[in-house]
Order: sequence, then structure tokens, then C-alpha cells
Amino acid sequence: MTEDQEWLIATLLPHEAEVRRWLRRTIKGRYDESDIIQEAYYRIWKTADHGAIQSPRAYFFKVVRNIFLEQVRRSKIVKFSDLAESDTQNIPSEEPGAMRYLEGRSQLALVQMLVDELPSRCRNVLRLRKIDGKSQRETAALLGVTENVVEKEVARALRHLLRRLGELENDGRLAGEGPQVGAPWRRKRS
Amino acid sequence: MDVWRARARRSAHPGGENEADRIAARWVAYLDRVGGGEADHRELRDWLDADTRHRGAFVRARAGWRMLDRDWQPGQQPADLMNDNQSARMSRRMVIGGFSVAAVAVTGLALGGFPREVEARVYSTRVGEIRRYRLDDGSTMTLDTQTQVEARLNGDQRHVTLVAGGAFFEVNPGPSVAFLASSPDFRVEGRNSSFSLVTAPAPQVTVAAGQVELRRARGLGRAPLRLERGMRAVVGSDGITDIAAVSPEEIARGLAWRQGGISLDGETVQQAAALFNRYNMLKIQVTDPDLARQPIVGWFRVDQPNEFARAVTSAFGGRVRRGQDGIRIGS
Repeated sequence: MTEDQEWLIATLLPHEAEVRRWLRRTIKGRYDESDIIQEAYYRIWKTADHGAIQSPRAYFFKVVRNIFLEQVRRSKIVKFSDLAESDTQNIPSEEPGAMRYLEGRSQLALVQMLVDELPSRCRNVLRLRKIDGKSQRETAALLGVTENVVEKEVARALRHLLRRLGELENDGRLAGEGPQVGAPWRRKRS
Repeated sequence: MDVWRARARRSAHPGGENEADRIAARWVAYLDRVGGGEADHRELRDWLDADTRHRGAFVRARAGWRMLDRDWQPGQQPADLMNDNQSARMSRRMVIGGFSVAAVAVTGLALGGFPREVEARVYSTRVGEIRRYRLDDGSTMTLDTQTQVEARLNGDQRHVTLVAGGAFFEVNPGPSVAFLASSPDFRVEGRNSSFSLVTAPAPQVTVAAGQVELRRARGLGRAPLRLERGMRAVVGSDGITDIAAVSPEEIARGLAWRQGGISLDGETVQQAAALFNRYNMLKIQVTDPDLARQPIVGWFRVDQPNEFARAVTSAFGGRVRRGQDGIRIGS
């Protein structure tokens, strides 16, 4: 995975929750949400010309919508209402929250909060591994645990991060987070 | 790819993960331990090739793991971030370390690395006093009434802290080190710019010239936001910061105090009275609630609350009573 690809995928992650919400409304439980999201990441990863992508968010929506429509067409029986009701023509306009999120809440701040949610051993592993630049082996030695434990904690932290990113609210808050924590920016048009 | 019928193992909750996500996370953790990529691990390669969704889950997990590495911002290429090692290291420290965010904000480490301790020089104004100072770095600052600023300036840093009140800064673009003005709500960084910073009644930043990088001093909204000339950031009562473009006239109006003026354009009598009261020991009290709600336009001197009271009553009727305790405007 090149740096370019990694960067592109990382710019999509903050939009994932919004895309998932739209997708959930659209598929109404007929298809697996995570399957479609994964397929979308795959297709975007495969895209040759990343530089041509103007808006990662719109692109993300477009890819997800296309995958959904393919699935519907492949189904043997498609009720007309499936398509009519699912509002597939309209990609939701930029939710003000998304804007606020991107401006007001850096990836850093978000990640910081997610990391804070982790159990202490998991957090310690991350700290040694990512800040202090220790290898997993060194981390294990410092914490007095086996390398297997460290590897498991890494996977655990990562899963937590990704799961929670999928739960971002419109305004960049996380589900379960109290109001005004993080007090995001709001852009006024005037 | 088959049609993905909803299955029994459908994501259990919003933003949920499925089996491929779990396996992808395990692979990323494993690669982090042993190094190498898919080319080096046949089992991983097989798994990735087995289903496009596996690949999707894997690249997503990889990107997530990298997110923990550095403080990337949307719109910024990784290469730019790599150049700034110091800030990147600080950022990671803040992400995962036990660092308290508040402590970082207070000591000003987040922006400038590790400045040497400099003794603060304190500037302040009393009620009704408006003063302009030239700082050692060639910048100027104008302090509004009842304002306190601590300035720490040397070759390594230009940091002013607005403790209370309001001030207008004109930054000397000469020195290479950025000029940082912080208040209880904001951190404003500028090089070639003029801006005002206010703590009360509504904390705000207004850029009169050039541009600044704005951060919230507290909480999680710490991504810098570029604020251009003619833009204003105001913290609302709900704690959310509004960003709005304001006209040059509006900016000039907001800075009228520098010439000892209060420029009113639609403020209510009550709000205007509160403005005057910041500059005068003789306080205005508006006793008629209807009168208090009237919007008013005009230009006054900050030290002439009597003129204001007279103007109000001549426009809306009512009486002015002057007493020991101040000026009462009522019916």
C-alpha cells in the first residue's frame, strides 16, 4: 500500500459514519452494511488516479451508491419501490456537521479521545509503540507481558478506533459523548 | 461478488464490524509486530485475494493504524507533515501520552516546541483606559478598558496572553518566529496580520488584516483554522464557535474603541448601556424594559455616557436621572 493510497483511505475514514448512515437508510437491512463499505474501500484503493479525486467524500458516496445499485440489479426480484424509495439519486448534501467536523475537530483530537476510551494496558501499549517508537518486542519487555499480548492489544485498539469512527455523529461527536464536548466550529454563511 | 443478502451476522450496531474487519485488524497488528507486507506473508496474500471485501477491510485497518502515527489534517499531504518533526512528535505525545491537554494549552508548548521560560511582562488598563503599547519585537498592541495582558518575548518566542478584556494586535512581520496571542478561549497565531482578541462578553477573534491560524484553547476542537482578513470567530453561549465574514465597516465599527469611540449599529439600548458601563465608573441603568429593547444607531465617545443617555431619551422619549449611583434612563 503506497503512501498515496494510505492517505486517500485515511481521508475517507472521517466520512465513513455519514456514508454508513445514508447506506443504512437506503439498504433497509437487505444487505450487509459492512460488506458494502469494505467493497467501497477496495474499489477506491484500486482506483489508479487518486489525484483526480476532487472530493473524497462525494467520491465515497458515489462508489457506495454504485455498489448498492449493482446489488439491487443482481437481485432476482426487485420491487420498484426498492429503488424509488431509496433515494439513490441524491447524495446527501454536505452535512454541516461534516464541515464542522473537518474544520473543528482534527483527526488528532478525535483519535486522542478514542485512545482515552481504551483500557489502560491497551493505552500503554499504544504509547510505547507509537510515541516512544518501541517495537512490539520492546513494548512487551517493558510492560512485562508476552509479545502475543502486545499484538492482541494492538489489534484491540485498532478495532476500537475503527468501530468508533463509524459511529461519529453529524457534528463530529461520538455516540455517547455529551453535548459541547469539543465544541466544534460552525461556519456561518453571511 | 455475490449479492450480499443480509445475514444473521449483520453488524450488531451502527458502525459495526464484521468478521473481515476483525481479521484485518489482527493482520495489521501482526504485520506491526513482524514487519513486512502482504508480499512476505503468503497466508495474508491468500486471504486478501480470496475476496475484494477482505482487501477493503485491510486497507481500511491499515489507514486506521497509520492515523495513530501522526497529526495529519484533511487537505494536507503527508509529506508536509513529515517535515515538521517537532510538531508531529508533540502531537503524538498529546494523542497517546498522559499529557493533559489543558496543561499543554497553558504552557504554550503545543505550537512552538519547548520555548525557554521567559519572565512575563504584564500590561494592564483600568476602567476607561485605552492604551497602545509597542512591544519589544516591534509589534504593537492596543488594550481596551479593563484589560490585562502578559507578554513573553525573546528571540525564541513571541507570546502574549490576554488574561481579561480585549486587545488589538498589529504583528510585526519581521521576526521569523510566529506571534502567538492566547486567551482563555483561543490561540491565535499570526505573522503578518492585525487582529483583535476579546474575552468578554462573547469571546471572539476578528482579523482586520492578513490572516491568522486559530485554535480553540480548550476542548477538542484544536485543529487550526485559517481565519482570513474580514473574518470573525465568536464563541456562542452554547460553546460553539461561529465563523462569519464581516464587512470592513463592521470591522472598523468593532475597533472604534481604539479611537475612544463606541459605534452603535442596531444594538439595543440595554446592550449599548452595558458597553458604556465597561468604560465608566458612572454606570448607566435602563429601568424601562421597553426602552431597553430599542435598537439604536450612532457614534459616541466612551467617556460620555451622559451624551448617550440624552440621545436615547431624545430619540425614544423618557427621562434621564442622574444620581450618586449612576445614570438612570427610564420613562
